Amino acid sequence: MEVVCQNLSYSYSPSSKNKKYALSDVTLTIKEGDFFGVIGHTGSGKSTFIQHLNGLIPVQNGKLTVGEYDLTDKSRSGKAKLKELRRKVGMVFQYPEYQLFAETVFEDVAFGVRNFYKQASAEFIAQKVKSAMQLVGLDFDELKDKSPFSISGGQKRRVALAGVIAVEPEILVLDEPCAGLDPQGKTSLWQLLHKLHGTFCKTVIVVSHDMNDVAEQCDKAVVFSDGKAVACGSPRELFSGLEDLEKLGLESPVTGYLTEKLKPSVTLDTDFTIDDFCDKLVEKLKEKS
Amino acid sequence: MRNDVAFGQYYPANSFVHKLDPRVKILLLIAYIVLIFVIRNFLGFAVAIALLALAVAFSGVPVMKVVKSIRAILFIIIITFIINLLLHREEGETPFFEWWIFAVTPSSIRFSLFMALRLISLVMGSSVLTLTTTPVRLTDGIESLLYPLKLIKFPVHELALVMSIALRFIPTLMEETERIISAQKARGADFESGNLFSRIKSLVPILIPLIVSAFRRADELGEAMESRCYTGSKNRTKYKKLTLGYRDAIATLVVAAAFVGVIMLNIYGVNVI
Repeated sequence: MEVVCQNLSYSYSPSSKNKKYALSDVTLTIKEGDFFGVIGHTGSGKSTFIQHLNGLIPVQNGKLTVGEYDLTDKSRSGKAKLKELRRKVGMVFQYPEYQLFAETVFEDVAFGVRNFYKQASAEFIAQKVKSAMQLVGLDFDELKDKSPFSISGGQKRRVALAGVIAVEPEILVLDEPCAGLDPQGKTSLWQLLHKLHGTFCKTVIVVSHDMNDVAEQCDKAVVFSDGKAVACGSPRELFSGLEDLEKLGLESPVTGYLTEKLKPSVTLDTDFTIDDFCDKLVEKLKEKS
Repeated sequence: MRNDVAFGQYYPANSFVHKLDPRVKILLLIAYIVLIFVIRNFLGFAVAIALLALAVAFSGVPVMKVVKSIRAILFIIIITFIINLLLHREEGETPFFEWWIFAVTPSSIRFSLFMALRLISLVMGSSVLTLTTTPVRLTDGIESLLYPLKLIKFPVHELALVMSIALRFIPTLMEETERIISAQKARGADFESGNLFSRIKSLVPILIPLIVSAFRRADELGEAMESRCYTGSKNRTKYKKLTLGYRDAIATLVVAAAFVGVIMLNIYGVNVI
């Protein structure tokens, strides 16, 4: 499923005289198979943007299609399709562990499955829950009967994630998935997301303000500033214009700063991942000696 | 959802009413409420509404803001109006309209209008207080008014603190609620269809995370206060002291005059309707 938005605008106070736009004139395409980053400050419109993708925020102005779903369609049949769309576009909010509510981990993960597959059999649900928990690296037999409030923070987040991927969304959208995790938790979460990316989740969209993560993990990214999509491209394209980034008040990944520092003596053509940066640097050093 | 709480949100301005001492404002509001319940004929409402209009005029708050405060209880007003209109009955009256136990009579029209006016002026009056007083000043005022209760060891300061914390966290919890609703909607939760029972059941995924998060916030806040050595009212001084001024005297006189007017009307006035 491809996400195509054209001139998308949104204002939280559409009736007031001096409207402030949370999104203004965003034109953007996210292709199927992308591991897509969404970068921007707090209040830059990135959260508003991602909530458009599964119809949590209705389209005010402009066009938005996700796969075959036209989110501009306000008719009854369009609204009926919304639920189907929400199954296909999984959304993981910031600190998803704060939305756990059920008595057991099993029930919490099954919540989405029960909602989206109304007539599902008990075996069907159990099978979906089990495979989702295994995918996120949770022990099904050990945890299924525990209260989601009695397990550790890292496990809670995985349970919440399992609750979203249990319905096998084709697009997975995550808002700051690494917020509040330790380095180890972060690494394993990214590994998990890449693993998911190879399965039913064909597209992964991640909101982040850590440029290192974006450079390291994403194929493509868009930069939001003041509700506008000001730049879009691969990390290589985005981070080579260091000055432009700084104008938007954003940072560059560490590799970006290093490349800049090295510039008088060596110019590196890197995609800003640590591995590639080191390879290119070693290459240059070999050339010199 | 956010529009529903417009009732009582502080409207910043620098007006006569804003500058009144919050204690005086609270007491005058109580007096105004008593006044509304003392009123016996419609002319009395003219006095009450004139008083309200005066307060709004000197508050710098747009009239529409005050009028809109009714929206929160509009439903209650309409329901009570209809019930009073259909059920109120006095002996020996010929109804305009009668069906089963329902009847519209001259006295029921009078009575239902009376109650509706009473509710409307009550809510609008209260909203003038909350629109012109910041929550901090409001709780300061309440704390100061309840001060005498300290004599019987009533924890006045703590009560005021609880109130201001509660007020402070309303917007935070509203925001939290919206976020949780979005998150559960994204997981396919449906709050709009089904019968009453299933709709109530569908609130569980919202309420439980909300309560859990309220407790978590309370814990965090308590810890933060303890780490700043907060011990409550003992030896605490105030940055902004409440002082009475000439404005408070004027306002009190105006309300007292209205009171006298209403009582006079109750005794000598004639019912116009």
